[in-house]
Amino acid sequence: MNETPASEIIVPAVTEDVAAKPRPRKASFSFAGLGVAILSWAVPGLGHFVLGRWRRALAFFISVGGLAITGYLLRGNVFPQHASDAFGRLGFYADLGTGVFYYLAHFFERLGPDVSRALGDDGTRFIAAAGLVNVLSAFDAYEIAAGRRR
Amino acid sequence: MILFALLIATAFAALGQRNGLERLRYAIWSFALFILIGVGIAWLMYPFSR
Repeated sequence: MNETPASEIIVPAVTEDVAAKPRPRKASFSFAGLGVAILSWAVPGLGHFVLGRWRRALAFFISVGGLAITGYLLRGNVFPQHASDAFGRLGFYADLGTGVFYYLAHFFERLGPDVSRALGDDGTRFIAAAGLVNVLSAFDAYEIAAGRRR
Repeated sequence: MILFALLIATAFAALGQRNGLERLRYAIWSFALFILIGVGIAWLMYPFSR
């Protein structure tokens, strides 16, 4: 038998860099993050404002509000809750993403939608884009509250 | 298109992990790309519009 004596076994030294390397954190659900995300969806930027990120909050409020209100003023289509086809349902979910602005549609769009003109069609895209941006901001607020983003 | 590009560029810059000046630079850069690509696509489609 060719056994190596215990005193001669070379144990690799753990360097400081390896020891200090942070281990990947296990993704866990955050209830605080969920609350902030809901706030962020309901009023664009409110979640970030609660977290103390007021510049980001202002940026999201201006961009989501600007897109949604421009869309309403261009007389874009606001999809109702009970749409008959898949396109209408997707449109409803996108519009619902704007949070409080979805419920202000009647206030800004008193004459109702008019997609017979190109501008009305553009308005529909503006409103949908506002909803998608707001959903992204809600995800961002969740990640910040959960400590996974700065 | 300019307003759309401006508002979306603002949101994209806010979503990024950058800080201060880098964020502003990213917003300007993405706004310029939105406009350039939009005008570029419009010109590409122009021959087929008639």
